[in-house]
Amino acid sequence: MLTAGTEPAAIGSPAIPGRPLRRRLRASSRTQLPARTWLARIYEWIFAAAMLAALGAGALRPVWRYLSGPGSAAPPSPSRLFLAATLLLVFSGMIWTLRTVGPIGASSAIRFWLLSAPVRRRDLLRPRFLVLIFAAASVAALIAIPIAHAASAAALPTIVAAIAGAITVATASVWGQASEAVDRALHGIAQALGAVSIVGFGSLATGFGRVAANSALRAPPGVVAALLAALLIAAVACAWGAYRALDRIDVSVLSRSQGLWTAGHAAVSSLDVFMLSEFVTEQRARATGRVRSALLGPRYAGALIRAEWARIRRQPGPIIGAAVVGLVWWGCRPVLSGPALACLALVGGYCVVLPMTSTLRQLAASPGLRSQFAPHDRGLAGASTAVCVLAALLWAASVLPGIMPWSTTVAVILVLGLIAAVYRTVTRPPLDYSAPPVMTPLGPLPLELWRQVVRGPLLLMMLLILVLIIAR
Amino acid sequence: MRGRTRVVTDSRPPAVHPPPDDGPLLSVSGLSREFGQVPVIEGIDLQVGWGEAVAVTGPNGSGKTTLLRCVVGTDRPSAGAVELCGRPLREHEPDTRRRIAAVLDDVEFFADLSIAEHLALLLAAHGAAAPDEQARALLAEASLADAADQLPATLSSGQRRRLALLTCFARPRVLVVLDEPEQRLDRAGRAWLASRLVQEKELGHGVLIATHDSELTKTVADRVLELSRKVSC
Repeated sequence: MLTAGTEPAAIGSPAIPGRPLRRRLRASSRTQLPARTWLARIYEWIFAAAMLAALGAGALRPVWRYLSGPGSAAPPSPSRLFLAATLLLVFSGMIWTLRTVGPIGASSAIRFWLLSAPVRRRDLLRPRFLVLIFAAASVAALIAIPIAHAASAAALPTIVAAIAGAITVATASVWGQASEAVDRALHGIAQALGAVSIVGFGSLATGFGRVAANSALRAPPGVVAALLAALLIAAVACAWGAYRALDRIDVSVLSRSQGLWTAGHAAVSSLDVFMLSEFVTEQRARATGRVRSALLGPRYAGALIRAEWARIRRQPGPIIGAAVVGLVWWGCRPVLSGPALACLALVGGYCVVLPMTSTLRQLAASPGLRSQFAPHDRGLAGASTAVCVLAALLWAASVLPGIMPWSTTVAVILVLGLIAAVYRTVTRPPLDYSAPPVMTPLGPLPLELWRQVVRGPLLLMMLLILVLIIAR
Repeated sequence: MRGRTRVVTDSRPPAVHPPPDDGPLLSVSGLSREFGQVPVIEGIDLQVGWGEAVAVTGPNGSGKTTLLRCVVGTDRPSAGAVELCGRPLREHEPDTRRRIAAVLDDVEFFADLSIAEHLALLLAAHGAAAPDEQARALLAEASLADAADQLPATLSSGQRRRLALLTCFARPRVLVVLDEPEQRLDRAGRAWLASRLVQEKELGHGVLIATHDSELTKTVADRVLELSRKVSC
């Protein structure tokens, strides 16, 4: 029964402001905890953040000095081309990621209860919009510092340019959620930035036109200042446009990214990146829909090879990604020191090989799939392992000519360690939620989570340390 | 006994001849399973003969799925024994896994292969002579011919169920174990499933299903094991 003052708004009445609703939501979530507990939690978080920041800074400083030290590769040299190519690659990657993820989303509760009502959408989405801007600026600053250092460029203009560019990209992506035309334009811009960046890295890798490009990019201070001012104006303009567009974002667009956020959250909380990749694979498969089936033939070995080939032919993304990462690695070679290059080769290889092992991952994670093929699932797992080994060997073969001249040991570690780290990561059994929890300072954590860390990522970290020591 | 059991590959395989001693295909005795202090099933005795179908029925939480999991070896019983073809069932043995075809949970498929390719790869793994043709024939039988070139993620839940059941009928087997196979199937799908299971019996295969569908039970089952707090057969 409706009481006085609770009647719903009449049809045709203006949109209800969302700010009081937001305030009420905040208040209701706050009242679930006593004030003392709430303050204690804030204190814990601040304390933990401060400790981590101090530890991180302390640990990173010697590593950074170590990485910047003289290696066996060519000594670092000022490279404006490297700076420009890297920043453009970062911006292109940011646009691609934000367009895929959907920069602003809404939880199902908000979607169901609030966005279906005639509430002013901008009021509800504003906090997320501000968080996005802050996050984009922070990430850009963090990335810009090592890039400026590696390129021997002035830090402040680089950081300012990175922050302004990141805010432009992030807010333009939000604008793209409300307008298809902006989204299409953004897609084109991402492709163009990526292409220019790849040409830049190609020039760095081959040396073709490198000197000319470097001298062409040597702009007088006035031009740099004008460029920075233009970037800042673009950032403000895009932020303003995106803010005004918040009201026009459809609920279907806001919900599209929710599945990805949920999968991402599950992947982070269970330290299993495959939870996210499985979701992405399924979304991609839905977008593809129908394919032209290949004839696999009667022989099992031949059928396996044809099936793998069909998979690669349909999803060439990992191959293209591997080629780009390889080019970037060679582009970094004239600029970065030996230890940094070796680490980049190992981490790059890990990221490149992992997406090529989907068959092995599915077999390891799904008892149902294994039982379909039983008892021949071992043959299938063996063939998938061969794909994993072959991919690792190909990656190693593509970077070894750049490593071998100054360290054969690093080359051996790269080949064997990469295969081991990828294999251990991919063949992790699915998380057993019934495993007993272990009490930690962060609260009870399932014992299984440790296995997720130990199997693969920890091995990669140990290899990185080993490579750092040897490549010195 | 092992040498005399014919393991078939074809989608319409020749009939399986039971061994001369005429022992049961599957024998379960005194099977119990507890989760902590909670007994889920207690002292279950069950036999499935060659060419016989047994339906397990009962309300939610009566332990139907747990029983089937123990039978196929994906769960370990707290007490009791399971024998397949007169030998203790050991899930890790290839021979055991070759003989049991089971669909208990949502079955996964390779995301980047079309469903025709997935079935053909499965058939090739099990040594079929013409996997591509057999895969098409199986898909046509399950009314999935039009979806043969689709990726699994694009199938409806009912189509996924049909495909999961097909993976069972495409592989070698002497015992078919299905957990609520009628779920998400339409009327035509249920009719197809019933006729397929009757055909399995005619081929000499054993069938063990957990179901809530009385029509399917009436059509297929030779015996019914009803699970409740008090187990009776």
